[in-house]
Amino acid sequence: MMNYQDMYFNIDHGYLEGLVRGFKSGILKKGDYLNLVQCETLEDLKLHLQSTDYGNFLANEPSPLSVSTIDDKLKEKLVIEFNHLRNHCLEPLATFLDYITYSYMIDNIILLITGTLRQRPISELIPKCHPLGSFEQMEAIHIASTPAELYNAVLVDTPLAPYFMDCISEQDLDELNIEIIRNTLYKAYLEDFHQFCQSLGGATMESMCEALAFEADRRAFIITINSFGTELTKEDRAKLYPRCGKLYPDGLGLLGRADDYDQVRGVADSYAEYKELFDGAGNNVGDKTLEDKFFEHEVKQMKNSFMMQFQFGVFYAYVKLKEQENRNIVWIAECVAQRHRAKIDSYIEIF
Amino acid sequence: MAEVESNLQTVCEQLDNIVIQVFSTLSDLYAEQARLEASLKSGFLNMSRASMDQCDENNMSAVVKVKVTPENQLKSYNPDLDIESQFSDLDLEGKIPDTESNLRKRNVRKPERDYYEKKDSHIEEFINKAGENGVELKDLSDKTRKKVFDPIKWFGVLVPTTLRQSQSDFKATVDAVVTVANLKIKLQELQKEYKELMLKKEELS
Repeated sequence: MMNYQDMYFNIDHGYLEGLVRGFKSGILKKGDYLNLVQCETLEDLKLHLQSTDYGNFLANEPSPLSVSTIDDKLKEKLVIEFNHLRNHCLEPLATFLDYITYSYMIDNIILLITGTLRQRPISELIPKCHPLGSFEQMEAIHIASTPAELYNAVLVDTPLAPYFMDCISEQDLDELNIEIIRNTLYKAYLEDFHQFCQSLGGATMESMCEALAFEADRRAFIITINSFGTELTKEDRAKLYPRCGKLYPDGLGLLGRADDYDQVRGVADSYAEYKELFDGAGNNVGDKTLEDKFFEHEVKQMKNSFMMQFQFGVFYAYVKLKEQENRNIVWIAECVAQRHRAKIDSYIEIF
Repeated sequence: MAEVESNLQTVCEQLDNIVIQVFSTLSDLYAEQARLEASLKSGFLNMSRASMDQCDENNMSAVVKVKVTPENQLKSYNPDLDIESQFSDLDLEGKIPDTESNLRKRNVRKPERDYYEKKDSHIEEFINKAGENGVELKDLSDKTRKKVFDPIKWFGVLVPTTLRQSQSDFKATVDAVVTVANLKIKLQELQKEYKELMLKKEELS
């Protein structure tokens, strides 16, 4: 049966889909990376990037260049492109793009809470926030001793207000609670985003639900592994796992009881795609880390998303692929700056 | 005459031994310096890696801006913020008695140690006498260390594995630095001893 949604997609969203596919073709290729890894200095890197889609984005930066400057300018380019898409879109794409920004908002809120609790001035923290996650009430965050105060004072009017329902408590804000808040917020956001994509249906649902399920499972694995040796209890840890992935419910139950890396690996062995990721990962010289394997898998998923037309997944995929490209360039820049070329090839190829 | 020759022979043997020790110490020093460089490189690279792996850069922003004072102490930019007390509640180890410390102690020569031991016992007698006379004095013999905080907690609770690896690398670097310093001191002492023996050899010959 014909999918009538495909017929009408281009009326509202065709221009932007075309635009994002054009942006995608500017993503660095293998040959570009081969040029970049041969750079001896950051100035060489800047020269090589001029011949790519980035052009003269570093032209106005004074010498000597630093890796953080390169990172900031790369981010700025992505933000300009994203904001252009957001400013020209219609519903429901507008809501979809807003959902993409909520993850950055969560990070900004946590950064501001942590910084102000440690008495860093707000003027010092605002520039550190991710521009995609900016919201009006950001500068109004002041010292709040409990999540309840924070919610009532600032966050109730933000788009993230519904996600705070599970975080409101009268406990003081300390490092552990802030970490729990961060991950609880992200869990609520991911599940809500997953539900929204399901409501859209069609190819968007097909593409995005798979991507978000992987993101949820990845977070579950990483939270578990990073929690070993910390004061986070198993019960608290289990509450942080997003439930929109393939691991829910059995895999998450097993992860919640895991005590070491081998047990986590045992859980992954029950799922074919995750078994493959864990099998290829290691900490020895020449091995890829588990995070690298996750990134590779994500890149593969995002590239596949572009194979489908008339769906919003391409916008999400573009943001993710650009983030990966930024990480690659920053990694190469770090290796060049630190003159440590042994691992300069540890970037993730995209195209 | 025979005695002088015998002494000269002894001095020459001692000189040879010192030269061998110098070369051995130099070899150890170079190896240790290479290890120090490798640890530092690995530490910085793992730190960059952790920043990448964490996806959101904000996790890698430490919560306290600190500086190193001319006295080589870590202080916050905020004069009202005491770093140790601020983060002491994050420590899981609590107070550690000095006897369990893993820090390498300085080599104190025996006569000086006896001197300090006598001084401490004199102080203890003074404290005890003051106590008997009803005078309260601060207990100077408390050798417990302050709480030690783990700086990795500045980056949150769920930090990536690469950041922990980076911390291990920097800890290994500290050990290597101490070893390098000790080896350099040993080389200086050997050099001094060599010069003294050369002078002695010239006198004998």
